[in-house]
Amino acid sequence: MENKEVLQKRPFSRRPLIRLVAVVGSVLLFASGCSAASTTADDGGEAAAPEKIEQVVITFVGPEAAEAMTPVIEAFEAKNPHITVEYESVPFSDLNALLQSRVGSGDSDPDVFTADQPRIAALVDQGLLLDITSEVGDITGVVIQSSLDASTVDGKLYALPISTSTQVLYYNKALLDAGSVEYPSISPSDRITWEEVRADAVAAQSAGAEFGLMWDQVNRYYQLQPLMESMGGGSGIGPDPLEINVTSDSWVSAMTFYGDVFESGLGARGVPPAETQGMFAAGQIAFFVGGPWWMPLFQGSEGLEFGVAPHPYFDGGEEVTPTGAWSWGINPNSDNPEEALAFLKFAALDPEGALATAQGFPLPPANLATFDSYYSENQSLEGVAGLISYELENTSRIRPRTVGYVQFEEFMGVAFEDIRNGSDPLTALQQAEEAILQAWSRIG
Amino acid sequence: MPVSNEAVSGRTKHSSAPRSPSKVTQNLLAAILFLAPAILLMFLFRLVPIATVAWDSFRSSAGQWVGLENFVFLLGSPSFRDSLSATLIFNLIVNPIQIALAFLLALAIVDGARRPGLWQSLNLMPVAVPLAVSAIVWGVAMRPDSGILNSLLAAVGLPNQAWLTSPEQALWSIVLIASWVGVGYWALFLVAGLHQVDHSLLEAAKIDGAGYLRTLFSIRIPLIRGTLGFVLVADTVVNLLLFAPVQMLTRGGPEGSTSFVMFDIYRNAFVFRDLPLAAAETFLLVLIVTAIVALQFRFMKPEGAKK
Repeated sequence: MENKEVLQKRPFSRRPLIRLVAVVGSVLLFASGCSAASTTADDGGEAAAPEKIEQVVITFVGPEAAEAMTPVIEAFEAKNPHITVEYESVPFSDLNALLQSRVGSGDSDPDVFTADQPRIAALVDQGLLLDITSEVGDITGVVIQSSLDASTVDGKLYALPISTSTQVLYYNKALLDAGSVEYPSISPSDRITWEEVRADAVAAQSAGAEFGLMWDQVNRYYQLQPLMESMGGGSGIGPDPLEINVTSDSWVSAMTFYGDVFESGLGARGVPPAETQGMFAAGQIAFFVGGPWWMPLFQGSEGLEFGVAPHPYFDGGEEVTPTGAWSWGINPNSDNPEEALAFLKFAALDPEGALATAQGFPLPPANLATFDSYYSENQSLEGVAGLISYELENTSRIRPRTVGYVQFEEFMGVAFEDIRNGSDPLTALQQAEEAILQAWSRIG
Repeated sequence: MPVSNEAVSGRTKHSSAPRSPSKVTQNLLAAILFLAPAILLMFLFRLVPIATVAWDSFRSSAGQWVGLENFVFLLGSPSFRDSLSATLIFNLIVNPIQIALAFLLALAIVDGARRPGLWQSLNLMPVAVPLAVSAIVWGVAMRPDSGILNSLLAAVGLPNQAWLTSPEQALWSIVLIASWVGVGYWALFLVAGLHQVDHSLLEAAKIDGAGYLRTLFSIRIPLIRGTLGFVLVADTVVNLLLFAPVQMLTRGGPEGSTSFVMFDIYRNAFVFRDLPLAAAETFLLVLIVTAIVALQFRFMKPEGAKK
């Protein structure tokens, strides 16, 4: 055994300096990862040999699986035989780091990339998105207004909205029946309040449900913003983009409600966002706030009878739902900005192209003309389409547009998780505010 | 294991035969050739990165020289100070526990087990599971409402514990997760070390009337001092750089109780894209690790080996 031999030599009694360097070296293995900063393999656009003289290859990076992009890419290539689109799928968690290192270092690849809407302001601030205002023109009324707003910075358009999102309240019929709880209506005019949901959840739980109430992305800002908004606390940012107020009475009240859900055992602690849907699908939760994209999962869950109702609001408060998803933008260093723009316009604005985009996507399209056909073709959303449209038109609230969004989202997530685990809401929010202000002092 | 390579290269060969100058040159050349790949790799993957990190830590995101600005920011930052203290507290707890348990386990395998091979294999099984996977499994097991650990506690009449969701217990839960892998792994080295102890010495001690404990403390432990030293240093380095369970299970919480420096570096580098700050933090961590390891070297140096 080699180890025995090695150990017998008493490695640490000799040459401490060299060994020190070796140990330090192992630390630096990390450092190399840090400074190389996700320079992901570059399988660039040059690979494909030009078949015709004018053949152009544009590269495209996004978080969706390659199959999700196939319909729109095929439809676009059929109409534009001289352009080839090469798609590269990157995990969401790596996407921003990759864009920063590739686009940020002046690389012309990728030509097109997906931009998380609340991060667009920061991307623009760093010069990573091409201004396409004059090339695209006025598209008011073509796409959902909130998505258009989310893609616009200082009156200039930097990306085209592709998809949008909303949240609904799912309920487990069997668990509600057991607690003699009336099913909530799907009609937005009969929207129930958080107070009612909590009371019903308590009834369902005391009648046997493992958990009464859970949120899908249980500790994320996207999911919880409507609580504070409905309470009148605003988004937490503004009016200046780097002005924060998350310690107001409204915020504390909303977070006290949220914390109580877990303190009382209605909601589950220690479960990460990726595992909550499975719990509802398994019949463990009476009320579940989640995205309509979970419909197919729940419909396919054996023994689960569920219904859908509008996202709740606080009694006497505003009716607010979360929204926002993906826009697609162009790399300012792109060698083929015209072709990239043609692809973007096709995917986002052309009704045929937008429908092809929507076909592969799990999220509703941002293109208004595509809306109806998307829902009529998407069997799983039958009966819910009207509710989704209503929320997108009337109650949706985008996340704050600020260059400091990433830091804001990260530390709010920390605060939400702490409150869920029983921390005092005001203290947790104050700590988050301090951490965010400190992180923001590094911007600009 | 970087250290093992060093240990191998630390071997000395003594030869009494006189050498001609040409032979010496030849040997030197051969030595250089043999060492070249290792030195080159060390240069490329260890020294170049440290230089890069040092360089980056004195610059802004735009690449301008900013002197000590990044370090001043870090040292003035409460979150960095909290991370540092969480990391040090964690290490003060986890290292003695892991090494003590690993040593007891190694003794049990060497002295007590009927089928040491089988026990050693069982003992190593957690090492075969990637840390990311075991972190997820532990996360599910530690769920306060429905986790298997609380079910086990309930079965013996003990109350539910909050595990990773409590600021008081999260650090200990991470100690448990890290030790589940660590103890078996480090015991492997100690088993090897204990096997190396010359049997005739143990027999001589027995004849002289030394009991088990006396033999253990006066003969076996001093003789495996080198192995223990290696385990101490390597374990400390591993735990100072522990990252996966924190990133996957607690993200530094609750209330910052597991916000170790490695996680803070990750957040600055890969979430906030503040590379200069992450570089400065990495540089400080390297200095801290180096200082701690240097101290450990000092204490582990056998008496009489001062020169």
